Amino acid sequence: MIQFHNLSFKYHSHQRWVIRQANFAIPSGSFCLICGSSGSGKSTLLRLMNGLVPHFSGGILEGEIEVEGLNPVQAGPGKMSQKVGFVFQDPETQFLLDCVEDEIAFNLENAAMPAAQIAQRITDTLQALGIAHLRRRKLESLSGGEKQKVAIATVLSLAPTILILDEPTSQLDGQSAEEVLSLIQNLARQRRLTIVMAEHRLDRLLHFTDWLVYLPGHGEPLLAGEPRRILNQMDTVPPMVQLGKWLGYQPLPLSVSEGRQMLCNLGLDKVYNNNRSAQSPLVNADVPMPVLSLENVSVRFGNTQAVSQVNLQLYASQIACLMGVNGAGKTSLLRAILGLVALSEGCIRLLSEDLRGVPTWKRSRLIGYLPQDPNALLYSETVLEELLLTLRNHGYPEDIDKALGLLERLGVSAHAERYPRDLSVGERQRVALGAILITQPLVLLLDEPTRGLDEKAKTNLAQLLRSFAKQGMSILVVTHDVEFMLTLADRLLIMEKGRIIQDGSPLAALRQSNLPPAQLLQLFPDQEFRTLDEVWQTMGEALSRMPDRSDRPASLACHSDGNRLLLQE
Amino acid sequence: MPEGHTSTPFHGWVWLTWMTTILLCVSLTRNPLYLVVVWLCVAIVHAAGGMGELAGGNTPFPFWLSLLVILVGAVFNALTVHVGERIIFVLPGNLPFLSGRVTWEAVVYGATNGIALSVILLAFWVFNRNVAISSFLRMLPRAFHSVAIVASIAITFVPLLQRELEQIQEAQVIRGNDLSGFRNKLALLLPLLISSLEHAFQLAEVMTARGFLKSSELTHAAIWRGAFLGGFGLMLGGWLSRFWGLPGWAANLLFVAALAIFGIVFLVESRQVHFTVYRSTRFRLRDALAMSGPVLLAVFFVFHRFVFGEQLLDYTPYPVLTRPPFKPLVACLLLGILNPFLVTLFQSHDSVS
Repeated sequence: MIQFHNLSFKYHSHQRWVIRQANFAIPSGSFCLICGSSGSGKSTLLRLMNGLVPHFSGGILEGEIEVEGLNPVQAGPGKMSQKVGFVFQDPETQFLLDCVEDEIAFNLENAAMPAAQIAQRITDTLQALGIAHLRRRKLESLSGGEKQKVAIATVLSLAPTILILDEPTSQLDGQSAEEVLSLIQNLARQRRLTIVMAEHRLDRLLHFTDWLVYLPGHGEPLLAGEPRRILNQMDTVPPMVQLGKWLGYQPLPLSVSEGRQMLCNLGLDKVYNNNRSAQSPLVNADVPMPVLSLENVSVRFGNTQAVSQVNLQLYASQIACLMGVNGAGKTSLLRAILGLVALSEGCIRLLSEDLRGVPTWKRSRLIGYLPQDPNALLYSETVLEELLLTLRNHGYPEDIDKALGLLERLGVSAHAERYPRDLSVGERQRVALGAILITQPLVLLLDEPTRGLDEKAKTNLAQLLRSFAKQGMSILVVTHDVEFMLTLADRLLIMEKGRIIQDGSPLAALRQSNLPPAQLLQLFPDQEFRTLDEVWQTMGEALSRMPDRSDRPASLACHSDGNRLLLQE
Repeated sequence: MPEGHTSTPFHGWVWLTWMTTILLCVSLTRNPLYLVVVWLCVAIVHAAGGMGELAGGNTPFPFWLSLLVILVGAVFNALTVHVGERIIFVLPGNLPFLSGRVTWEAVVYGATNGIALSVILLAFWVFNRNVAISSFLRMLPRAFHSVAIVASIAITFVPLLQRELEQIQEAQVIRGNDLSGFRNKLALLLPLLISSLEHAFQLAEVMTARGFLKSSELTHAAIWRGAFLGGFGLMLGGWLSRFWGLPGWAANLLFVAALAIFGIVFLVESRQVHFTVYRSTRFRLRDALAMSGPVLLAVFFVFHRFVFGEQLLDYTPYPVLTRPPFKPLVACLLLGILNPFLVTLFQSHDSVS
């Protein structure tokens, strides 16, 4: 049992309370999901449960917290580690040794467990997590998802009663994140373990969540309780829940099957999408010449063919998304375009100019590239300085007005004088985007830009990219996020084993691939809804065409403001 | 063996002895011919790793680094040490340190130092690739457990920093920095420092959450430090007592007391550190065989240096460059460095036949 009694906390460097008057309890053996936007205090709340806050960070604390009968503030993280296992965001920085077995054994050796017992504990833990095959692997040879699973195994080997996970998928690519989330689902089902997890991907976790804690941020008091009750009070929720809220349906659907049941009950399971042909053209008729052209591009690393004979034309104002499983060659293709890896064959043209022999730093004037981790781009003292540094590097004059204008457009002008690494994940990403867009490139390449972003930040990013595309920029986005792709892309490319195997409109290409479908596509399998707005528009039309409202299976009434529907009991 | 799996063909002590012997050789001789033999032996052991004969040879040593070290050593010594009789040319003027005659003797001495440094680099590379961090931790006595953890963190930080540096370099290039000049390269330092500090902070948090920072250990550390200081004080007193004119037995008494304190603290501290060893590696016959060559070589070098003097191993090109002596017996003994490679080679042949 974890109990918060009127607990408030703030860091010494902050004026505002990060956690304010938290008063709730998480029952033993339950799965508790903690959500909220970046910087809302999720990590602080988790660290309060094992004493890392305030022992490690300092700060002012009021009220009380009790975890398994102990007060973490008095006991300290050392003692709490016997009861509470903590898994961090970044799997790279959690290990001390070089081999999986040794890493897990290290914890147990330090707990002075006899060798035979250690061997048994390692076997049991690895088997329970389904990663027994990784036992003798070197940590450096593991994928991000595998590393995070090993981090969980390391913590679970000490048999804690509470497992805390702080956004364990935020540093992982989409596929690895899926693997880790599946593992956590299995853990929650199979073990009588209290799991407390901070995570943005609510749609994957809500249906087995027992307890939901929502941190609105900005010092507002948190909300905690049964998931449906809290979801009703939240602004940003997964599409399925949003649809339920719009329809005024109770209980809110938390899974696809519950969503289908809801539509069936409301007689809306047969709505037909009339706007399905409204797709952006693959070729821009106004500008016949492609901005970026790849001709038979191949990349080879030793004996591995990373990219093989890729032909691709990208046009002005076009947003193309590139998807595929890990190791398909997506990142290698982006890096080849920028000249970060050498081509073994083929050529790349920007407008009509062959880029062979043009070094990366020169290409970067006209081809912007945002790598997976935006932190790598940020090292100046202020946000504004980041943009000016790029201008200086390219030999352009330091145009402060231009830089401030771009920051305004990116929505981070208020932070112009702040240290970039102190910002939230979404804000840092926008600053990094500003640092590469200040030279006004013709082409923008983004590698997994939604990694670690909450729903609101994702929506903002999509809007921003669309506004850049409207001004003529060609955008190529590598992503695993199907929902994000559907809201953004004019065109979908799917890579497999270094080749582009699908190239077409997003829905058509997605249907012909093995990629996991989005929640909306699962809910309306025969329709071509890309966004919730499309669904809502179609439903509004369907409802307005219904002649007699009293004939509907569930009594629905159109609400005058914003097509909102209310279920009348 | 599948890619990415660990293997420990030799006991950690074999590699530790091997490494210590090489350091001993390098510190006891400046004969370039013997040093070249040592370098070749270490290079063969390293290459054997690459051929799959030994574990962990999958990352090749950058051999150009050896040439660079030797070249820099030769040029630096030639330009700063103006001793010797075979003059190549004379740097005119009054440039501090630089002006004066540049001699072949200085070139040879500098290059010899470069070879010695290159041997050390290469040997550490081989040691690092063949000894798992966990084996290293388990080799150290209990009393040094916390020191061992710090060492392991330092070792795991190296590849992490390497990846970080690559990322930063890339980030600089994609923001238009061509990284061509020294000043442009300086732009890598600050981000590397920032990310290193961030990683250090994260790791410290991870360690704390895993329960490594316990108050009992901190108390022991304080006692440990206090006793050590006391021991060093007694040793210093013993050394100073000679200047004060005290009898020799008094100095010896202080030394013995200091050693006794060190021993007691070591034993007490060892008992208070509670941990178990999960995988204690057995010391096998092949380990003994692989270790025999380096041990024999080390004994020979120490014995010769301290019993027979310096004639057999020493060489200096100053004041006049002469041909360095080369004794086949010494060269044969130096081949003992190859023992880990030879044992593995014969064993793999046996298993094939």
